[in-house]
Amino acid sequence: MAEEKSFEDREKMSGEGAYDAEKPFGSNSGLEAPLKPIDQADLSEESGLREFPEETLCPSCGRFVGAYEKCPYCGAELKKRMSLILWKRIAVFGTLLGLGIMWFAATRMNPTEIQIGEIGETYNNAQVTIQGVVISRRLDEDKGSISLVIADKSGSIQARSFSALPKFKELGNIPEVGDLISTVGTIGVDAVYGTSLSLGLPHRLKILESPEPEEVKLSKIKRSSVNSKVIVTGMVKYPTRFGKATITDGVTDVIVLLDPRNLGEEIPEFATGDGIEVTGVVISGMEGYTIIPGNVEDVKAVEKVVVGIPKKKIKEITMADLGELVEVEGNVVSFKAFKKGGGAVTISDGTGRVEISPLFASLFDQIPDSHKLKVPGTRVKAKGTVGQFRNNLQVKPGAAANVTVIIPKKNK
Amino acid sequence: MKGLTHFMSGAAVASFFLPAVKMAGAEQIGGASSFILCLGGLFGIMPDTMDFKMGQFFTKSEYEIDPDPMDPDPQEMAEGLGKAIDQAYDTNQTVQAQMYPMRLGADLWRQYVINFDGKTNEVVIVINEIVTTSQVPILGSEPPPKKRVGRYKIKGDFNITHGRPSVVDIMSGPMYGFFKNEDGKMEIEFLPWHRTWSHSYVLGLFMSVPVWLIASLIAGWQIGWLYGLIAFLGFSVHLTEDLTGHMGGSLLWPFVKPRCNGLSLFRASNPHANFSIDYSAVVIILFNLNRFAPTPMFTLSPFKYFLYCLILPLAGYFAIVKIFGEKGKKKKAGVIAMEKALAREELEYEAEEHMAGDM
Amino acid sequence: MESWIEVLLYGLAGTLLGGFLFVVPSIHFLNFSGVIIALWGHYHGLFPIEEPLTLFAFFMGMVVSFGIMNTIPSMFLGAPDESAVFVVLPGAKYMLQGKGYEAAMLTGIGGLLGIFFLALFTPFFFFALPKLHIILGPHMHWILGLIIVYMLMSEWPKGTGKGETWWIKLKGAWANLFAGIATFGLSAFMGFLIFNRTMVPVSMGFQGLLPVFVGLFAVSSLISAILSKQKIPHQHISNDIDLDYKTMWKGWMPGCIGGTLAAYLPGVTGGIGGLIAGHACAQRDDRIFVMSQGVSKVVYYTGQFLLFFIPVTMFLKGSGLKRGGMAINLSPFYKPTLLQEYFFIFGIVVMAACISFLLLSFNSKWIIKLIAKVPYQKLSYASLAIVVIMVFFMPAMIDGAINGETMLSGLQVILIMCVSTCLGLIPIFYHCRRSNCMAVIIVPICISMAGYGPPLVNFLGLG
Repeated sequence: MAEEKSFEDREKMSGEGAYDAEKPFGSNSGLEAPLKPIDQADLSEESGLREFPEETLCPSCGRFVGAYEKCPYCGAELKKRMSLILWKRIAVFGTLLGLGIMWFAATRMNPTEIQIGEIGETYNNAQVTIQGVVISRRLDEDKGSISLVIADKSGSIQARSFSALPKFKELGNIPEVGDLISTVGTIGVDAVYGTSLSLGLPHRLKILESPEPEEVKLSKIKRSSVNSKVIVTGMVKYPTRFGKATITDGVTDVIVLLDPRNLGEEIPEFATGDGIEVTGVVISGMEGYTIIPGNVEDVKAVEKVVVGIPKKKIKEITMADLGELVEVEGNVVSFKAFKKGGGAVTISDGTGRVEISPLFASLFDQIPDSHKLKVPGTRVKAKGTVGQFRNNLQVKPGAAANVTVIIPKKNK
Repeated sequence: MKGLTHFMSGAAVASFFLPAVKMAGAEQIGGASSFILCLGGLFGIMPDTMDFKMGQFFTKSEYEIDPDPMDPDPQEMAEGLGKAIDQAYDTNQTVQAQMYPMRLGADLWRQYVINFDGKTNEVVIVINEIVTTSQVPILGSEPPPKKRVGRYKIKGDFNITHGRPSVVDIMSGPMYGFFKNEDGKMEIEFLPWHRTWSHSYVLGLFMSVPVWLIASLIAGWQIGWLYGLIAFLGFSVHLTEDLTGHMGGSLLWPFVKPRCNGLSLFRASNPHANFSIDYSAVVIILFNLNRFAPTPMFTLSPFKYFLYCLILPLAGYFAIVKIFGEKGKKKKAGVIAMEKALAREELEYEAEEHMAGDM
Repeated sequence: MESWIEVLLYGLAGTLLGGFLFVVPSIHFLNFSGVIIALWGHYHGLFPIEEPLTLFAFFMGMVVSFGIMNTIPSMFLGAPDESAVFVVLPGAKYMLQGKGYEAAMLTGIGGLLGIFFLALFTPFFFFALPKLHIILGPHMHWILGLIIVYMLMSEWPKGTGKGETWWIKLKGAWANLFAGIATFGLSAFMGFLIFNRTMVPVSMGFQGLLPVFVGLFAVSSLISAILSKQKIPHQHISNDIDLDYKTMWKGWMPGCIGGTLAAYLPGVTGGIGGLIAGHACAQRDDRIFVMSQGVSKVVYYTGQFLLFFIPVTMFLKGSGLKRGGMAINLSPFYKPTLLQEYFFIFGIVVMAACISFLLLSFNSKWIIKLIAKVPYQKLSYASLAIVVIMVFFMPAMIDGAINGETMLSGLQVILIMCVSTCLGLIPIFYHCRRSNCMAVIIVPICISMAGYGPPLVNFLGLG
């Protein structure tokens, strides 16, 4: 269709110089004259379609040369549109100059320092400087990863690198928990993984301050202690469970984070009533204050911690004592087994009955002579915190060491 | 074969080496991974790169036929080529002639066809229509019959082994090399600069030596040899693939300089051959990456894997091509136009003779 | 209102908005997403928090409509100048022959075929792609390296090869090759600067590449169009298209291959994927090329975003796939996890594709009428103004205030855009591939994945 139309149009335009292959031999006239490109290539009845700009044709030989500045056929210099020449020069020089300036600026500028709390979704992929206290640290030698939690007054953020641990070791700038650091990283915001800082430049992590820990009483921990490194002493109220233990001085309870991912597998076991000294950074959360030790050496067992566990008669324990440490002693009345092992032991000291529970399977199996707990009449001593289950008071031991089966010595 | 095919084949060959795949995998802690597998692809495409981006510009031709796009004279063009052949015949030396395209605009070219007629021992040039860069002709734009065909009878006889006319339209024109063979007949070498020194296994070996040396200095002597080997194999795979076509190569240059003929299994631009080799390369690479992975993703036996992933899909593909594809050998549009023009010329010649007879 | 109706309506809104917005030259859905997200930061009612899928449906509608609709500005509103351009693309050839409408509809048909391909390949995305990702994941850097090598090696000399000496011949032939290598190298350098130093305000970090891409591709194209003296001929609006089933198949296959490659590989765009697929399939017909471009674009843009919806449970490591700017921009807000979400979004895709195809026909017709009356150079001036204003005011939109600080930030962003514009003009005026500009993201990603990022960053003084 288009071809037919163009063929007809060519016939209309025919005159001198027009092609007509259908005409018989010898009948064409004036066909030897050279044709301009416009006549060879014009397909449309509209003018201007194939009007080649003058600067695309060589002035010497008339051939199409496009954007060349020198005719490749005859070597003539070609005049180009001023705007085109100018833009070509701008393109090259602008690029080189612009990149040079950008490079200079990039090497001189420091990434903007921001507060952690101001990071929003639009900060994704931004390279920033953050200054704060390391409140948690996790190193994985096998994978070569390092993960820190950095906190400032406005919030906290996880900073990590999946493979740069060797580099950090080489530089010797692996911070301890409690260190005040400044680091450069790239913000990553993800709906699943939350907000994080990628530590792509290990050498940009600077330890600004490694403060000495301050010895503080548990009850004296305040808002101003947050993000500071402290040494506290207390008695274990709740032994370690899911990486957390609770210590107390009889007045204030504070959580201690004893996560094997942070401290390794060599964390000592603590039972209720054990004295403990912890060196770590204080953070504030929904559960109150938490102390995060930096390494396993920061957690020590100590003796002579002045917090006693009162020994009470069962009848003296009331709902008002919920959460308090008590010690009770009595004879087994009944044992209720749990489906998955372990159970709950009810004892009586003659003044009343109380349940020693929960004794989960893992805890139950560790109690020496635990099978005797199923035997009524067995003498049992237990210490733990007072709790309640379905309005019945309980003593929760929390650790196997807190339950003792008293076996009377046989007279010789 | 097309450039991508050589490239993929080179990478596929490199993937057969366990140490190379391990070095390439991003599993090193705190370390950097290697780009060794890219070397296979790079050297796979290297021979044609050397030819088309460098070699052709260093080749001199004794004759340059550069027709005027505004007023192409086919007779002059035929004479130019014919004289080159005659010179080769007279001097018993190889004479090279470069043909140039005729550009009319950013998207317009004047097409012409070169035919070496083995029966009449003539060089025939036929000027066709104007075409776009996609080689679509603009009908009705062919020159008048007087300006359409040019012929030149050479002194000797042609030895035509392929006999296919050359269509010259877009981008660049071919170079021919003419020489007299032992039988005294004129041989025509298409693109005499192509697949000569650049398509030599010996050159591949020489080029892999600096790769080996540089890699050894950077990565250590115990592993540098692998880089050189992969470079050589990538290069060699290209040459081997090119043997499937017509042109062959100077496989042992500089020891044996003349270009040997290929196996003529299919044309280098055959889309089905190229696609199937590209697909095969991808399947092979995946197979090798999987079997060399610390934990292979699949444990199919090689036989089953290649049956399900290579043979059956390709069989399906070729079945579709066979059923729905174009039947028979397709002539280029330019060659068809040339044949029509020559047929018309024949008719006009007969008419002229008839008229002369009447008179 | 039922939540699914709400999501559907948002999808429809995105499709309709995109259907008319992306007719404007050089407006890209990624740039516009920055505007929407910035506005949403201040007007929380824009998308209901309790139904995060509305946000994704809206943007999916935009992505699909962009894939189909952006044919119009590239076809009708930017004609290659005889002086500035040596290689005329097939779409532009159609336009110069007065067949622009036909070409636009060809790409539209290609787009619909691309959606059909995505539907067919959904099982592959769920079951085969996660496994493939485990095999290919650790090797991504050298796969990108292969693409880089091929991009550089496959560019052929465009010179005539004429000259008295070999040096003149070589120089003439290598002019465009050298320009291509230079463009590649300079783009890679720019990419390193941008990736390793946030040169835009940090609150705009998620749009850090905005000025770079706008300059490289949008503004440079507009300048080229403004400088062009080419007149657009009368466009014929045909009732049928020169297309048969064989041509459809021949255009569909390379488009699907190219689009899938581009969707999966990080940093690789539809243009690069199309280049590789085109070489693999070795077809020369203009119709095939135009159609395959339509397929490739839609498969690339839509497929890339669609990968984000593949449930993470399908992936062994449980992290899913995040490809493309849209997924990265929206990942802080929500991560789709349910299979139903994938299929629901796919329904939005199908709806958006059908509506966009119809809008393509409608928009092509009025654009043809418009350009017959208004020179496209003037339209390019208007588009340039819109793009520059959008970039300049982006920091202000994010911060929600127009003050001295945001104005200064806007100027900072514009300066970066100017540098990238100069870089983007080099391939236009020196006749090399514009896809070389994609080195701005491919090379930094490749180097970083290989582990050479830190030493290179230190070498450049950016550490």
